[in-house]
Amino acid sequence: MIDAAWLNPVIAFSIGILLSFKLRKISARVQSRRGPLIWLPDRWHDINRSKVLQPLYDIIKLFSKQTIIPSTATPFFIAGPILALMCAVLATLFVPVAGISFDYSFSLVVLFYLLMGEILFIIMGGISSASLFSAIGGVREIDLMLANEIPFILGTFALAITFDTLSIQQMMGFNILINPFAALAVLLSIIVKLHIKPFDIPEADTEIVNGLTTEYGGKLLGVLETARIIMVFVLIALFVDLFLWIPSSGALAWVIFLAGVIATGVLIGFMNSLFARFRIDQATRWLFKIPLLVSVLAIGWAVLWRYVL
Amino acid sequence: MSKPHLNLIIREIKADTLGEEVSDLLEKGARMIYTSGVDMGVRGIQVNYYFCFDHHEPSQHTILRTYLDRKNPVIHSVTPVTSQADWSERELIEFLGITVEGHPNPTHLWLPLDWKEIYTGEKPVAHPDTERINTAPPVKPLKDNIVTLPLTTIPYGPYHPAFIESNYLKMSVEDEVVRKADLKLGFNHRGIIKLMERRDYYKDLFLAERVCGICNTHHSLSFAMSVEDLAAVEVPQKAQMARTLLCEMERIQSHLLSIGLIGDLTGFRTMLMHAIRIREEMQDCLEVVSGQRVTHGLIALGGIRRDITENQTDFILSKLKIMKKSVPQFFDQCQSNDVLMGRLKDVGILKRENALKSGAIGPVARGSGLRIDVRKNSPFAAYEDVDWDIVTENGCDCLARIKVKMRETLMSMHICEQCCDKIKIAPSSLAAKVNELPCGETISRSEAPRGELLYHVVSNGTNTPAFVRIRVPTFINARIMLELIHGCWLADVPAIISSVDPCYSCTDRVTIFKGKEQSIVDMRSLGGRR
Repeated sequence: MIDAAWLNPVIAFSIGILLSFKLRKISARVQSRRGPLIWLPDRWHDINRSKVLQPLYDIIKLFSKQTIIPSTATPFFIAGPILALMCAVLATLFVPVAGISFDYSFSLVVLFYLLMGEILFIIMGGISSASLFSAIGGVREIDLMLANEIPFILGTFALAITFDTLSIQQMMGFNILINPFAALAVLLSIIVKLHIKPFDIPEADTEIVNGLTTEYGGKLLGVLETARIIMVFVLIALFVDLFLWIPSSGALAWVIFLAGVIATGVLIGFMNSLFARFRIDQATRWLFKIPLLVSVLAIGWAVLWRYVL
Repeated sequence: MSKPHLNLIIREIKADTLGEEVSDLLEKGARMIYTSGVDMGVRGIQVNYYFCFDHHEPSQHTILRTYLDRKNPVIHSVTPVTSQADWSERELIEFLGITVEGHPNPTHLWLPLDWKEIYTGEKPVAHPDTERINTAPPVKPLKDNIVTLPLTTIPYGPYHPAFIESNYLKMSVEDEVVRKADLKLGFNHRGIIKLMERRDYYKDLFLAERVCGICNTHHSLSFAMSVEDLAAVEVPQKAQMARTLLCEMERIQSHLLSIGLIGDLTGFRTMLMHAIRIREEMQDCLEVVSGQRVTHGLIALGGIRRDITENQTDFILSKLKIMKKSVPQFFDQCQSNDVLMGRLKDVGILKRENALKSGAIGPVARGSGLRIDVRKNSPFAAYEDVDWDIVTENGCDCLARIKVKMRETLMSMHICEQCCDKIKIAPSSLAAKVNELPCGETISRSEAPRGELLYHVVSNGTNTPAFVRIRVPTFINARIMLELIHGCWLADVPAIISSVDPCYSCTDRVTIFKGKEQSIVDMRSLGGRR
């Protein structure tokens, strides 16, 4: 018997493509542009066609290109993106898609390691290119990660305290009502992990060209893009599972799950186009102030309900 | 006969008394605008020092002039007296081969930093068959005098997302804090000044327009004004009004673009897109008036080339009515974005006294609370006939400079409305006739969107100018930008760059081609290696 959860990476990639399209479309509409087109009449097909799959075309294009490896790069330059993609793919197996996933009593901890590993492998690949911009991008990424992991871990552990388990399947539910502070803390740290606008500091194009991915091109950049698209889905789906899930099965589960993913995706899309970029010191200061406070509140809230009341 | 619109005193002095004369003028409150050098043949190399007093007394200008021996041109530097002469003197060193004694930093600005080491001694020889000069990079590895600190060096450029135009900014950083920065120009070098010397005045007008894409009317207007001063013609009232209208329309579109760009460079792409959307209304107006979106070609010697009809003014007025709503709304939205304001506030602080000392001009000066604006100080076109005032802010940081631009945009819209109303009732004469030009020389200044613009035109009685010298606003402001970059965060560099809003294409054009060293610049040696 093959578990249905083996399909999760494929689902993650396809929904990730649609989410990326959605992010582009939303930011275009906020910027009073047309954005990638959804539909065009047949007679206009010579001019343009539907661009719903444009993120996929971009990746296919990258895979058809020559990969240039800088002479200063170490072998980690190639290993980094591949290991990052592996972490991202493995992470999809532990995030329930419409309630389907591998589940152990400690799957939340496994997920933590995989999500952190993805970022660390990208940093490893980037800084081994010996590019100055990548080095600065790597430093910024580590700064952000150090400030950001605490609210993320505290926010999810608040749920673990409430449900007295470390299994994601068992703590799924409409928990935004049970612990709104945890939901806020996790949402904020997901935004930071995805480099949504006030926090796109590690890849600030006007400051450090493209940060960690400056030297990447061709197939390796395609791998990185694939990992990024999967991560967009993984983190959004994790938020939906933990906070917006209504227990159900079959087709209804898919409807609820997709509705949650789209709602979160739209929210993130709007955030992406409505902010300027933080400076790294401002960002870390902000992260140590508000999300940390919120996540400590979330833990306190969970402890209060679990043990005191 | 009309009197020239600027009061110009030219004093010829000895080269050795230069330092005292300059400090004398500076004590009287003058600003040093520019230093230019011209190879005058038998008379030697003419060096002009331009001063203006117009922020104290309207329209007062002085040129100190000295002649240097062509065989051994040596001059004492005035940069220790005033840093305003810094880049001008480096220009003299590079393009005329003048030895400036006592210059604190006599490195190259346009040419490669180790120009002398590469090219002195062995002159480039033409190949006997092909008659080509070998411009291959030198075998000896290049030295770079920027990287003297044992720190990481970040290169910005020649192509970098923070620059719209190519130039090369090199910064030594220590944990994201910039310790030392140097700027390298010379990538857009076109030698327009030299081209002007061999075309007649009517063609030069359009050549001047090509100096800069975004403030082209101001360039052609300044050139036209200096030629009109030479020919002593009176420009008709309608033409004056139309020129004012064009200048202000150009200022609106330029300021909107630069406000949008500061958003883009701090990661706020939405702001840029909306700025461009609003700016499109103004571009439509310019297209209706002149037929072009970028180079308008509407200024003629003695007036304007084409009439601005009542239909066109009505169109502009209707567009201005739309903009009166959308522009303040856009500015309010920008200023209510906390993240953006946090990025701009207290970043790149230029104190009032520093701004005065380093000769800041344009929005940079006005953002530090200086009332420096050529439109008021030495009025040109019809700025005396319309109701407006200089916009200043006292914040001294990037935010203040942006606010100045925002309020100036609104002020420009106010001026445009008045001009449109006045053009309708002005007498219909469009241009005065410019006949023969006598020998003589004159300078003219105008307030381009980025600051004051200086044209020095010398006529020798023929149909081509003897020489033209141009000082563009970025020439001063880019040096101030470098001072602001010292000690700031790497992430603040794009914000500072865009708040100063340099236009390197303008600046690169200033280069002087005359002199001994012909231009054989190996672009590969300009950067990249350590």
